[in-house]
Amino acid sequence: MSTVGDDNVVPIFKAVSSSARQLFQLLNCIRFAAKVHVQISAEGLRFAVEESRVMQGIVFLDKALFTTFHCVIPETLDEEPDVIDLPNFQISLSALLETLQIFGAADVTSSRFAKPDNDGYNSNIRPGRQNAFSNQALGMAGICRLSYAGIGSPFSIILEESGVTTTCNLNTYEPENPQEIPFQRDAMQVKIIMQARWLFDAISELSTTSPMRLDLIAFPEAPYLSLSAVGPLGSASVEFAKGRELLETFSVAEKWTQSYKFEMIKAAAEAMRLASKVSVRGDEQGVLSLQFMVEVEGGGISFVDFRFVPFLREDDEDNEDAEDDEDEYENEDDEFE
Amino acid sequence: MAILTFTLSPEAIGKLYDSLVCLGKFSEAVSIEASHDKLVLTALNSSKSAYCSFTLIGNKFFSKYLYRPVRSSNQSKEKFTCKIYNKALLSVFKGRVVDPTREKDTAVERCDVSVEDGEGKSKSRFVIKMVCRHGVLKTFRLTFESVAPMHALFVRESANNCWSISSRTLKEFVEHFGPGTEQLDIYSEDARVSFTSYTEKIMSGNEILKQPLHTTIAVDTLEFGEFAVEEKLHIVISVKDFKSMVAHAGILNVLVKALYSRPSSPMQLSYSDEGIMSEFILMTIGESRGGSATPANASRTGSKRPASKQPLEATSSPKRTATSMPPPPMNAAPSLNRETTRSRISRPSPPPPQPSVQSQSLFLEGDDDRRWDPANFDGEEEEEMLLWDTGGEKVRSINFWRAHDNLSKDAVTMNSARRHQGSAQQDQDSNDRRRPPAQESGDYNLIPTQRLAPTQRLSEVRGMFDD
Repeated sequence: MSTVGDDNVVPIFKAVSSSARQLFQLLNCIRFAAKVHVQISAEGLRFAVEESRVMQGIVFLDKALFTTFHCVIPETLDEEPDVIDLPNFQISLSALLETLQIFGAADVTSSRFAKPDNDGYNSNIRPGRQNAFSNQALGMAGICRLSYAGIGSPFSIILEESGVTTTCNLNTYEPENPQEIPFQRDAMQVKIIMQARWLFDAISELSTTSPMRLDLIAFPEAPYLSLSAVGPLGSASVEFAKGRELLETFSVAEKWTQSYKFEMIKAAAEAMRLASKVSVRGDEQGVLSLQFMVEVEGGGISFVDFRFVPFLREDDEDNEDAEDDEDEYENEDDEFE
Repeated sequence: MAILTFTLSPEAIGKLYDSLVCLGKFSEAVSIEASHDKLVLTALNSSKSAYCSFTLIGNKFFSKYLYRPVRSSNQSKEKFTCKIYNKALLSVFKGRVVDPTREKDTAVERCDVSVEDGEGKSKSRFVIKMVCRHGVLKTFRLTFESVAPMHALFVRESANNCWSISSRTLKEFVEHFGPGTEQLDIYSEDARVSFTSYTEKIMSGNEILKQPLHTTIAVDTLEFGEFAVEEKLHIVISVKDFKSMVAHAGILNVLVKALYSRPSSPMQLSYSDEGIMSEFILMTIGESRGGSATPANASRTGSKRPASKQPLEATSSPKRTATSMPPPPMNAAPSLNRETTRSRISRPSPPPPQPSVQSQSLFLEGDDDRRWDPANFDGEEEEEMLLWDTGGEKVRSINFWRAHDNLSKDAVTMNSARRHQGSAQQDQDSNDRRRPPAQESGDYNLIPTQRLAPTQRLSEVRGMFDD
């Protein structure tokens, strides 16, 4: 963190939010890597986090989340009018989150000092809602100003809450130019929309076996969707057998089986907890896209996007879990590079 | 083909979970034994000094219970036994209790458990199916180890001391026991019962390893449902095990019944709730209280009992054998100079709690009693030391948990044990005559085990017992 000198240059980006809390809640969903890649556009801020090129989490903070939002895209010197060079940079995600929760924006259950669930006070009906003693309810809502002057300058956050002002300047880093995990919308094989908490429930159920891998199977008929995992003490599976009642949208042409690293899917658990709905999509290469619809208070609807690259299929599956899913795995043609 | 299938209602899941939590305080693995009318869950702690068992009655606890023994080549097995890592079971049954504040979207409607033991053909798994609302089905397939459990055996007939008390009352008592205390002494005198949780002071050179701490709760016998306990008898058990029991019993509103005979014989604590019978067998520690006044009296009254023999047995299915050892005579009149004698003895680790001078001074009131009986002062003191030794302690606990590894040798030991027991009984009236056999059995207890690593099988040291 450094101090900014007074610049006469008009900053590229300036925005004011009435509360840091929504921003925190959304960004906390993708808290699985050290750095976040930020891209500023006229529509909002896009935060992208990736892990070993096989997992990606994207949060888009729409300008509707802010009370004021100004973005002046600097004109590029290159004479390529169709390519707009949006300002982008990297910042430390944990530092950003620490800053945003400096006034206690984090709710108890999602902070690092989380208590075990169900201590009697936090019901998990609408997790993340404000309770009677949150700052918002007590009329202590502060404001949060974000600004970015231009390449090389820090991303600064000014938080004001009940007369206390905190200024944080987060150093920006050169963007790494990450590639997005390609998801073939035209070759989509699975699309399921369901309540996010059911997915959360299933994942937390499976995590008790401390598995390495998550197997996701979608069937055109019952049991429709099955998640299973194998751990050292046994295996566990969750099936959504009454597909029609549980799954809002369900389009699966044929049986689709993929495996993912469990820890990665679990990294999306915060989004599952917070979101109201999730769209589970899979393409023919096995890339899994989880799109979460999050309703933040007062901020309308935001989306948190995850993409996962599957494990390469191997013939020598350990036959531990092969009881239900007959091993009709074909070799995956090629994994995403 | 499942050997065992049963169905649990959401309430039963909660009760089962409570039981598992309790079992988890004793051992990291749960032994499961299924027979045609009941399912028994047991755990034995690693030092084999505490045993916990829950018997779930087939037609009462479960909504459906069916045991279909496999007909193998020779005969059908009467029981199915296995062992499962408790952590796996706990995580399956955790958090299933229907919570009104919780959304009921994914609440469990029922739980179907089936055990498949394919013996080569199909997989052997303990399959738990949680059927939740909206047709969500959660299936857990746990691996298990096919071993017979070890059961501690408690001989009800010889337990002449008995009390029962409400579990809620016990729960209140337990809250007062100091967190660092190790032993719990139960003692009654003049219609008052004292529960004393304490830690003896342990010193190593000048360094104080443990500070003494005593908490005594005195209760009127009217608090008890029934109370028939020998006056002035000190019985000492582990606070931790007792607390584990109370933590479970306290959830229910039941009458906890305790049965025991005398120090260094097991104590049984039992209670039952709808469909669940809970039983705890805890080893009691030999006379530990430095200034306790009564042991001489206690053993004398004890010797007058027709069946003062305390076989410490262990059973194991399918075979069931029992071993018995004569408990060393309980003529543990403490002596004034006991500390000095104690300090001379080098103890094998872990040391039993040693009464410190300070702690003893708290219990000096009863000292009159020991002057009462000065004739066999020296002899008793010596026996007391032997009794007190961890060596002797280990032999008893070995017996307590011993399984059926060697039938014939067991029989021999039993006979020799009975012989000793008999002789000890015969001789108990006269203190002078009692000494030799008592010391002999004391030696048996002390010498072999002191030289053996505690992990050695008893069968390997049998020779020393048999000669």
